[in-house]
Amino acid sequence: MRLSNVLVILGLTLASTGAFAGPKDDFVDAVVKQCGKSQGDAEAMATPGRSGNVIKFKTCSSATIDIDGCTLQCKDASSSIGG
Amino acid sequence: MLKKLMITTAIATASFGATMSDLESRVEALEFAGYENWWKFSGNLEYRFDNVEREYKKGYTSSTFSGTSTTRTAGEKSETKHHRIYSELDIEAKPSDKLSFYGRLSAAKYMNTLNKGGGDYTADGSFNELSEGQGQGNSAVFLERAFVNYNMTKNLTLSIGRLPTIDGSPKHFSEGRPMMGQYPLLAFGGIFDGVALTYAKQMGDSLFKLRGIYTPFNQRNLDSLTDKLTSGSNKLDESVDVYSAMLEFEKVNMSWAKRVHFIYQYLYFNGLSAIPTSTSYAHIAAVGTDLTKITVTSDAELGAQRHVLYLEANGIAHTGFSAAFSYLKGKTMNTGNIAQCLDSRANGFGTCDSTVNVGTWYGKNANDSKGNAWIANVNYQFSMLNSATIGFEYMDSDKNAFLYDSSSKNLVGEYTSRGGSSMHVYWIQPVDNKFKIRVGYQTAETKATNSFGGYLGETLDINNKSTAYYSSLQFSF
Repeated sequence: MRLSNVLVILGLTLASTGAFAGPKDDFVDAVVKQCGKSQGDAEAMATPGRSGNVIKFKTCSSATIDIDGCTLQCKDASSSIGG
Repeated sequence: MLKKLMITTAIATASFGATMSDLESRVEALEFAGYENWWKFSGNLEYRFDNVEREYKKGYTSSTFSGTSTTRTAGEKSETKHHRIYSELDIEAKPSDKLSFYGRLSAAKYMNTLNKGGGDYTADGSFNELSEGQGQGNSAVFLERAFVNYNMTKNLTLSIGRLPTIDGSPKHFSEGRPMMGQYPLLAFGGIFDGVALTYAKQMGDSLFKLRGIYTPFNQRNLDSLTDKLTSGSNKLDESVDVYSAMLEFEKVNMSWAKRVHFIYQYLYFNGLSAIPTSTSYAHIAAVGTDLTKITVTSDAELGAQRHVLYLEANGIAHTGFSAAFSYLKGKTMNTGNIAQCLDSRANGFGTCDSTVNVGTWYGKNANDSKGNAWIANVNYQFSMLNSATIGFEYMDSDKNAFLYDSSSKNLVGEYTSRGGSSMHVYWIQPVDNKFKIRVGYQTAETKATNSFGGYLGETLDINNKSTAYYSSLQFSF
């Protein structure tokens, strides 16, 4: 029973991680490409939560955003044909 | 002792089971909320104030199809103030890995305009605006963009709908925003409905895109949907094909700049008949003081061929310095004639007393008109002052350049100053990442126009100078 519960929760957690991986992956990818940080450093910068760096980047409406000394170009997918 | 231990273990097991069950259901609920919530809303609201001065350094007369004319005398000046609200509500939906939808509901308006001064807007009635959305009036919501991207393969995306073609580069420089529209501004500043196919390939830090776009212009008989419109004695096709091809290249994190973005666009259409037959009445001095019936007929057609280059570099030398350059090599193909039949009431509204041949697009006679234009932008974003930005923009255009910007937030005609030049200095001050203040100063000198509506009939040499200072409070949410 306990083992099955643990497995279910582990499965759900992994599925949830997958569902919310998009914005975090986008953030990590941008930090690696635009600021030349390592994957590990970029993941350490990807702080979660309402005031975290991932959501700051995701909802950025300025031309650029500065996150922990890394200046990232913001993008508005709705202004580009084909994404 | 053993008994106590067994009891404690039993209680702990039951308690853990209940906790796990509770956690399981809570995680399930969270997961379902994530799946269910594939709609996202965001938006932008701006209050903008402009003070505009215009000086007509040279006198001229322009006309309208309804028989009225406006004469400007040399040295005439005017000064006007403008309080305007711009709101955008953006909608994004990603129901699957392949499909995404983007929509924008937008409104741009003057604040509380109670006297609308005789324009078409008067059809709404003087005070309707005070109850729009509450009373049983006419309150339109405009769909500025509504399109889907469908990923046919990893690299190939089909886009269909009302496309994000307006407000293109370099307009985002002075707005302090990411790229706001796909077509470079010099290609065409308007909203196009259509179909596009984009091939994108990421190679390391470089992104290549090749795009074909089809956005037909309709010329439709709305009085009788199953009949064609006529142009002179010819029946018109329902649509004029508008084709465009785009090549895009973007690269980040180079030794000399943080990012470069290059766009080449080709756009072509021909045979657009945009002037419908119309009838109006006016007292025209040239025909006598009696009421005159004016009937406009047209077989004038417009064509355009445009090559546009756009290059933007951000974070040059890894500083806050950014620059952009846009170049248009353009041609319009103009044929046909617009005729005004003037028929006075005294003669019984039967036959034309006289006919005025207005001419065609960009001239009195059929012509192939060539005109180029360019825009240069520089921005510097400070690392202090909350990342404030100072910027400068300069544009120069030929007399016959076909320039079109239908979203003129700027009231000096900064991007449509034919034959002259324009410049813009601005400061963008973020208060925080959701609120910014902008102030700016703009001038534009226009040296050419056409006698009817600015684009039709005889080409006039003019010298209008417009200047404006503005302030803007912009919120994103």
